[in-house]
Amino acid sequence: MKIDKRNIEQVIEGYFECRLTEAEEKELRIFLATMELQSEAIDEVKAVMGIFAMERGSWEGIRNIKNSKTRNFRKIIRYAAAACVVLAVTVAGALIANSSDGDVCIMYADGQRIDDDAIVLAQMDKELNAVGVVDGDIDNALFNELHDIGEAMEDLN
Amino acid sequence: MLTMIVALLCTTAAMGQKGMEIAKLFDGRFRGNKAVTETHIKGARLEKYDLDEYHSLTFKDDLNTAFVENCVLRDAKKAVSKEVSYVAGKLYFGFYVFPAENYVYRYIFYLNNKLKNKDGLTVIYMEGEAYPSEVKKLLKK
Repeated sequence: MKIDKRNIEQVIEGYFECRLTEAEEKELRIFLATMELQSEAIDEVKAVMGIFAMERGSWEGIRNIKNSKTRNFRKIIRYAAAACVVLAVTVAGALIANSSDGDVCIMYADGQRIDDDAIVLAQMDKELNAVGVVDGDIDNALFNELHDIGEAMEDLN
Repeated sequence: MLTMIVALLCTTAAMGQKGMEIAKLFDGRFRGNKAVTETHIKGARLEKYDLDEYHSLTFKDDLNTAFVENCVLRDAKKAVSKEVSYVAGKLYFGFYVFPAENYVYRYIFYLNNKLKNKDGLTVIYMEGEAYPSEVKKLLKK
């Protein structure tokens, strides 16, 4: 990539967003060190790369480095905040999706839909009761069979 | 963090009868049938039982008995625990427990009262974190 006055701002932006290759970064460093250009972005990138400080050796360079670090920190904070918002929205969406998916209480009887909770829950009770009675009978039958077998074995002894 | 979200979705989402033969029974095909009662409950109303879903069908006539029994018996092969009772070679009562996935158990109850000259064939599907012993306690005795 050829760096010149027209694309320098874009290249600097690429540098701050870590999009430059090692070769491009080296080229940018040479360009900045050899060209006498000035703008806020150029000063900033020079400060970050250490070029500004080397050239002037002044407190201004150090201050600029501090400023750029602050800017980078703010950038990181901004990205982190955006990530938090995305995460919060995703989690909230998941919870809403699950909660709305959860609630159903319906019944179809005689070909008609019934949405009355009391009727539907009563039907559930009725069904569980019917199954429960038989389950109890089977348990009793099993107990009686085992009891009979036990008695028969005692008679044999 | 993404893993946590995926886990959250997985653990709370109901499985339904996915991968089971009885899914054919609960696809809504009997909803217009006057001889069939379908009950479907999911969510908050079942929380006190530690269940996520209750889905049942009660048949007044005999027309679908063979189909229902066949579906239940096919699923029964995958059950990890079962209590069954046969009358005249026909399935009369069945309680089947299926392997837990993400701590969620699936259960099928089957009762064919017609074999004892009473009304109704009932098949119930339940799903939730309730243990088999807790589910048995739900049955009124």
